[in-house]
Amino acid sequence: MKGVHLNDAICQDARWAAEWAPLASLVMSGTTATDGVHIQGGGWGGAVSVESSLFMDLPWFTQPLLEQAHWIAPHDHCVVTLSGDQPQRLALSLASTRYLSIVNDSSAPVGVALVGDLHQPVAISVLHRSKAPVVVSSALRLGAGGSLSAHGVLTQSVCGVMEWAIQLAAPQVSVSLQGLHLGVDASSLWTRSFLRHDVPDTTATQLLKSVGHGKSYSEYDGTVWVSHGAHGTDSTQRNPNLLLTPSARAISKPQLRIYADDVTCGHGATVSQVSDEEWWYLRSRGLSRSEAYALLIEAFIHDMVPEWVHPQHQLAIQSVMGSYLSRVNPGGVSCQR
Amino acid sequence: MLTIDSLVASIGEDPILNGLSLHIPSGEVHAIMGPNGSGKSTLSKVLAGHPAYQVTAGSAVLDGVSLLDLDPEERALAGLFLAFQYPVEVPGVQNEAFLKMAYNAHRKAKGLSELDAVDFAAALSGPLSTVQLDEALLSRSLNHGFSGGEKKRNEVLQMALLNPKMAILDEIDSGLDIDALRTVASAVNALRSPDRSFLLITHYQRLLSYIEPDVVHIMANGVIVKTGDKQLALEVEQRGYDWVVVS
Repeated sequence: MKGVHLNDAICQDARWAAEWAPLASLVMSGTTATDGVHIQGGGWGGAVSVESSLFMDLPWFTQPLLEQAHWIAPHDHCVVTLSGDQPQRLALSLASTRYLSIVNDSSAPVGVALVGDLHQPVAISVLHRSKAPVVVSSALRLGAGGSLSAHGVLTQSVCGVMEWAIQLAAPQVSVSLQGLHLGVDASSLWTRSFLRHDVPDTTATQLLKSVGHGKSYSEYDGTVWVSHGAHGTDSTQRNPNLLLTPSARAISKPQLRIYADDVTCGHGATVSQVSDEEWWYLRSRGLSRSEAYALLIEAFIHDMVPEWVHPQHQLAIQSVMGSYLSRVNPGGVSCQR
Repeated sequence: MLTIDSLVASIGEDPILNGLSLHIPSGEVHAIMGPNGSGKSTLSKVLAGHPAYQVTAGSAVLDGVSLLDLDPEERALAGLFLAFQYPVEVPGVQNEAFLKMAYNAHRKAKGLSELDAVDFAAALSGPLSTVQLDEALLSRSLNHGFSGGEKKRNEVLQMALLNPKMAILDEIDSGLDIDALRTVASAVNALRSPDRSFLLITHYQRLLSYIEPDVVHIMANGVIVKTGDKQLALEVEQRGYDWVVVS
């Protein structure tokens, strides 16, 4: 669709210079290192040309990252772990990848671009668990035979952004996007998605859950675009948010742009606190205040560990959830009373 | 066993209990009946420590322990159990895992070691057969999507498992068909013992023909207005509440 600008659609005010300043400096300039990048199932590679016409307009971060990143050539299965204290800019072309796992513990800013024209099932799981700024920006097109399962966990980061720009370009292709924000202190976590259904009979589900604590900020900004003639599109967005402290914030912007007639689209967002009734019910059976509280938060996030994720990565996600629960649930939580 | 003296409680600005007194000796089954809005459910919630209610005067003592000074979990560990009129649905908390946590909390409070999954399954099997709960419900989320009857059975299962001294059953008969009512009633009857007391809150005499009470109280405007034996329930069934409340 000519004239559709992704960034106009999902981010009409160009605020990234201010709010994403920690990332802007990384993405736009500065030197980056390859120290601390460990690649299992792949190696360093040369730049791959990406036709931006594939993806309409690229997301905010993708284009500058592509121009300046160190390229990784991933194999069929690829695990990238990031650590150390040097800024890193990486780009991966996923044209022949089936499983990609990224675990980021770096204490310096990290930017990762994921691009590709996919004709195979691809699974991507991203786990970011340091305070440093991070952006994972993807621009993917699903052609015949392609499907995408993506899962991203952001926690702690003072500025953590995940962008998913996905074009569903062949009938029967499907996308499942899941994200989890575990906010603490002054963390600022963003998931932005733009899914464009361009042909008939494609399906997509999106689920972004956030838990907020301290003065954390979480934002889900997701657009589903159904083009003219894309009949039989089935696309849903859900964004439940749980706030544990009065100063935590959650912003939800699920959006639908539908230009076809015969489609099934739904979106829903909720923002809630731990339910007094549920809490009391559990305590009335003898569970302690903090046991019951932790159980209710765990109940909210427990389904955010997909089975398709590599067992080792599953353990890493569960461990992040466990540390998060013990962090936000000391006896003195200033919730309801 | 349980002695309530001059209990005054409100929600927000509205007083609901207006100096209610009640004594339930060990081993007895008492029933409270009363018109809508008389404060029956409030009494059960206040005793179990619902956060929305404020107690402004009076006392409630269970076996020498003053309940109103305790947190909800401390009341439970002191031997109080409330079967909820509307059991709360808790999506994401697995029923069996929750039952095990609750059971182990009681064991810990008694200075006993916690049970692992295998030993707990053994401890649960007796209560399960008493209540005749479909075992498939153990792996589901707590009360989530349960039918009315399944929720009530799950309440009685918790009661049978946690072995309280004093059990309050708040409209345990509501939403039950006649077969489910019989099962729930026989489970409650099986739990009657000289060491355990019950308080049944109900609108209908029917429940009391399945679980026979020792004493029947009529409540109105936040106080007990009349006390009698099971004949009183039959009389209310025939004549309504007006004659009791007015007199």
